[in-house]
Amino acid sequence: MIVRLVFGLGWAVATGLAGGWLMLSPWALGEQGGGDWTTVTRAELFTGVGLIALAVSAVVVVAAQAARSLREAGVIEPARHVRRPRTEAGGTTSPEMEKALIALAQALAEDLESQREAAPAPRPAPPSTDQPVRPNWRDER
Amino acid sequence: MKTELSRGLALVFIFALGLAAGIWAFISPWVLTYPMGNGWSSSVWSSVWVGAVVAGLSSASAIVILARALYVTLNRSQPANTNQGGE
Repeated sequence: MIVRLVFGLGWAVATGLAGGWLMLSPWALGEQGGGDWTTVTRAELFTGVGLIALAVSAVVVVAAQAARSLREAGVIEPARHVRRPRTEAGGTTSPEMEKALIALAQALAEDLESQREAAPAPRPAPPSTDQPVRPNWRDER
Repeated sequence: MKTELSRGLALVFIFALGLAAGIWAFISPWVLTYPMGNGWSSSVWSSVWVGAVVAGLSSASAIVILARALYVTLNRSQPANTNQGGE
């Protein structure tokens, strides 16, 4: 990896500088006046642009390879595209949130249990007199 | 071992393009007939120098990367071959 990194980046820097010089040289050397671009200017400009593009692509390739090598070596954590479980409401949940919810549910269940043990079982409440009594389906027979 | 070679080849491909660009920059003054009245003009010198440097660097880098990739590939595949031959 080191050899590729050194040679790739060194080549990219040198080529990028050479391309930049080629792009600027018609004006730097006074070959191009204020008029239309000459053949020399066009050729040097486009060659310079091509060299810079090659240098950039070399940097991209070397960076990608270095990142992959570091990932394989375990220095960088691999990119994970894990889908988090969706709840019924549509939101995502994290493991911490799940644990907290479970603990809350357990505490509520214990609380309910202790309340049931302390108090007698409640009787069903009689229907209040304020509300009108609705006819039952048995009465309609 | 395959990755070493494939990764090296990706860079060698870019170096080959750089070599082509360098050769083009080197020969473009004659191909495009740059003005050369009394000897080479400054633009010819510039183009020739840039072309020579880029072509030289590209070919040297390509050779080094390719040699390194082949060396690593062959060195890693050698023990497997000897084991197979010994059995």
